[in-house]
Amino acid sequence: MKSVIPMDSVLGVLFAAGGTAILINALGYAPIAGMVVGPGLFPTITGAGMALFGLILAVQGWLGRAAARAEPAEPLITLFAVGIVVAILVATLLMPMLGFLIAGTVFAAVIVLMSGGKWLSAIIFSPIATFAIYALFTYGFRVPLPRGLLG
Amino acid sequence: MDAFGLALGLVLNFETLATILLAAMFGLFVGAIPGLTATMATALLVPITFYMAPIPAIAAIISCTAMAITAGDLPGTLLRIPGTPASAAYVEDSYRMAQNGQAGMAIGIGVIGSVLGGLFGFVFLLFAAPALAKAALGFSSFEYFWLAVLGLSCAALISSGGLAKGALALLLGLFISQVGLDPLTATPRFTFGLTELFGGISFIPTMIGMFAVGEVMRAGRRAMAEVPQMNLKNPFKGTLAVLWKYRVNQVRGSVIGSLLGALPGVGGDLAAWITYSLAKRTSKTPEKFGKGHPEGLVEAGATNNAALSASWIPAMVFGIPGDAVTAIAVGVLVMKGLDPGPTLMTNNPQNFYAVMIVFAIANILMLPLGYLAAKTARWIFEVPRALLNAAILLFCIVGSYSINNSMFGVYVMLIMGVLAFFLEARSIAIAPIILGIVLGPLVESNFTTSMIIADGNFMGFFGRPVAAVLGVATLLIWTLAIGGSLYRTARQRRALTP
Repeated sequence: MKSVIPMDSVLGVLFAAGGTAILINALGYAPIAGMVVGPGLFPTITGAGMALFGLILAVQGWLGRAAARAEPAEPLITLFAVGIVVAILVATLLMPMLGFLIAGTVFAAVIVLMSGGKWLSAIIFSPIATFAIYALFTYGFRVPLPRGLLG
Repeated sequence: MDAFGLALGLVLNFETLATILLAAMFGLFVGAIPGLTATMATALLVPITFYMAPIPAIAAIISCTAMAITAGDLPGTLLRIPGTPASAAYVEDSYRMAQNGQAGMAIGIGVIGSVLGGLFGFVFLLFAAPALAKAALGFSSFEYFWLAVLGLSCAALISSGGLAKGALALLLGLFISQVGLDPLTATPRFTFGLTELFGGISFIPTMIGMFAVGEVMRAGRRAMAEVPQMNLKNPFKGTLAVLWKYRVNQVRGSVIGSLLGALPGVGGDLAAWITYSLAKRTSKTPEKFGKGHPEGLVEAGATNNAALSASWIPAMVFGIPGDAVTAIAVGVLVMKGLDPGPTLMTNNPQNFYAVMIVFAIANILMLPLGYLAAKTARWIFEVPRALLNAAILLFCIVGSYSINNSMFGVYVMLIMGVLAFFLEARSIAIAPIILGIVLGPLVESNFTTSMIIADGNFMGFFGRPVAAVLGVATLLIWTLAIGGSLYRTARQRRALTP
């Protein structure tokens, strides 16, 4: 039988490590001279709490590993989820250069296709939705969206 | 009485009434769109109020907020994307009800319960405002600290993943709230040299990322399953019967919401979490909570709007906002020369009563507009998921950008969305994170002030009667929760041992 580290234990260790990092960082903030408080006091409590509960979760996960193994495993990272993240990241990087109208239209078309939509839907819907949102925010709410190449 | 007559004259004119209607429709539109919040709707409205007279300006803010908050229940119920932190308290129940074919009833409970709760808050506070405000003024940082910690504890302990996961979610939210300049010394904390982080991590991109982006990523993971056609032909059908069945919850939620909402700095978000937790703990069927049960929805929904009405009292009487929305409103009051504070009640009581009347009208207006919102929300189902995903994500990007007109907000949204996606996959609830972010500054400032007053002696936190009661209640809740968790773990271990 293969040995698997329970995901809750992994998550618990990550939280414990994060909490410890917060704690160490917080202890480095100089307190206010002559006072019991300082900028590091509340983060110290938060970091310590996170480290403690992280350890508790790690132990709980380890103790409950038999039950966790019995659960049907669902794939956590999917191509769709990764695609969404990459699409938003690329759109965000390109938007100041290309402008919202161009980058938004391409982005919307990509999301429609990734979500199982048809080419025709993507071609018709994406420019209309992008322009409607652009008009709403630019003319309705006076938000200066990036104009990029069309500027 | 003269002041009340003058107030009626200030409100019952074409300009103010038309403003109330238009602002309510704007709030309905923005609030119903997933990823856009009531706070954002209110913030976007502020530039327009520049061109209005004082009472219509504040009326616009009030009606827009009330409607956006109620409309925010629509994406919560239909798409599991809550419009406000308060509606996050009961989003699991309303969403499950919709999945079970009771979408109309879930929305009906939200709208009618909110109207009743809001009107209760209005009537109660119209008469009790001076006394309640006086009592709240007597609260010190000790009471505020314990009250906020009690609310946060409830949020963490009622979350579905268990004690450790709930506590970790809460602590993560508190940590996020600490990023930026320290309020006491302006020392940069956890900013990694990024000047954009000096002002802290914006709440709106965080909320959009965690609830909207994370949800789109999850929906795809479920093989883009078709959203079942919800029963929205007759919104509100059967709602009155449910409200009557849970009338105790309705009244209790309204009373607690009014009382907690009146406390400066507390607001409706905390109150809804407390009453949802209370409803679960006093219910005959607590195991049904979070699975499409209307009991918590009735109580927390009533609390939500009762507290919303009440939260304007400290904003008006003391100039102390209870939440982001009332903070914006206080800014508008100052901008219009109304100067919120004790003098508003003594020098210009007609303005105070005018605001109260606007609140009553805005709440009543919620019934027809809420019905309209429920009917028009059907397009959300009828739009193919592929198109909906694209529209939601475009709105999320623009919404996050519009907070500071900067792409930094979009990066924050993306990071928070990815974080929420992974955490939810491991049953770590998102709502306590959001509540931790919202209430973090309040908890920290009151904790720091209390520590200075008590000279570092923690027993000083129990030195005042109300603070002692709240503190002991908080510690008791944690003790019971930890004891219960240990007992359950031991019992499971015994059951698994051959």
